[in-house]
Amino acid sequence: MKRMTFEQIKEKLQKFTVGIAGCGGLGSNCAVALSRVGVGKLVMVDFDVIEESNLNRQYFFYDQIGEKKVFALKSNIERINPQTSIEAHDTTLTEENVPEIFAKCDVVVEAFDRADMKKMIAETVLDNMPEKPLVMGVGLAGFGDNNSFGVKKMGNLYICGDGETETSDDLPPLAPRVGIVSNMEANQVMEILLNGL
Amino acid sequence: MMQIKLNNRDEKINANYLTVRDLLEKKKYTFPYFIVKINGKLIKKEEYDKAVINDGDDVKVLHMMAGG
Repeated sequence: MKRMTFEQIKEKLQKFTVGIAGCGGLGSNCAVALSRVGVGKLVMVDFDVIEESNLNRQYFFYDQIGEKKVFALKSNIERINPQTSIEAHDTTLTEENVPEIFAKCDVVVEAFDRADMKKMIAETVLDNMPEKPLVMGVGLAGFGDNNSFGVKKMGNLYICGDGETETSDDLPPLAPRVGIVSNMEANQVMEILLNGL
Repeated sequence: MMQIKLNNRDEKINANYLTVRDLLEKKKYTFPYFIVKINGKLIKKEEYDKAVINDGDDVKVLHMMAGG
């Protein structure tokens, strides 16, 4: 493992921009972790509104129910680390706008809930911006089974998670396993930024 | 008979000519959403019928599962 002091880490990460595609369970927790360690800028995108059912895993508070996730997350991060610069987009990501919105990001984090959206961003990034590292979260439903997690690397694509579990009524996404995968994504982003770029 | 690498495992496929569509059917992949790469190159859904897999190719079929 590469050894750096936190001061060195912050100084280096401060120069980078990370895209967060979705501000739900994966995105909210990943963005908070990246802000805490000193990533300079986050480009966050989400169209959704906070519901009570989100609070079992997402980095929001009870009194934020009804607010737009992307703006609530911006205000939460500003309370944690006001030095993080945040660009918040209240919109739905599509094949058309992904290349433009994330153009200036050094790394993009996939943090969607829906499988079709995960496929969309993977194909769009691989097709239109193949040089851009994309960190994904796939397989995080249920509870227990800590040893199931890992990271698969294929070129510039990094897939964090168990690669198997899909959420359903009896396999819900919950704070511990979603938190693990979102922080694996953040950890992978740090490794890419601090070792490579 | 041909031999390919499928998701990092050696796999013998009983065929002389194989498209991505053939492979998905032979392996009975049931997830509705996945990404296919041949030798690191992305193959889009529209190309599954005509994208040919050759002996020795490195093929990845990555399932995308809901949850986040």
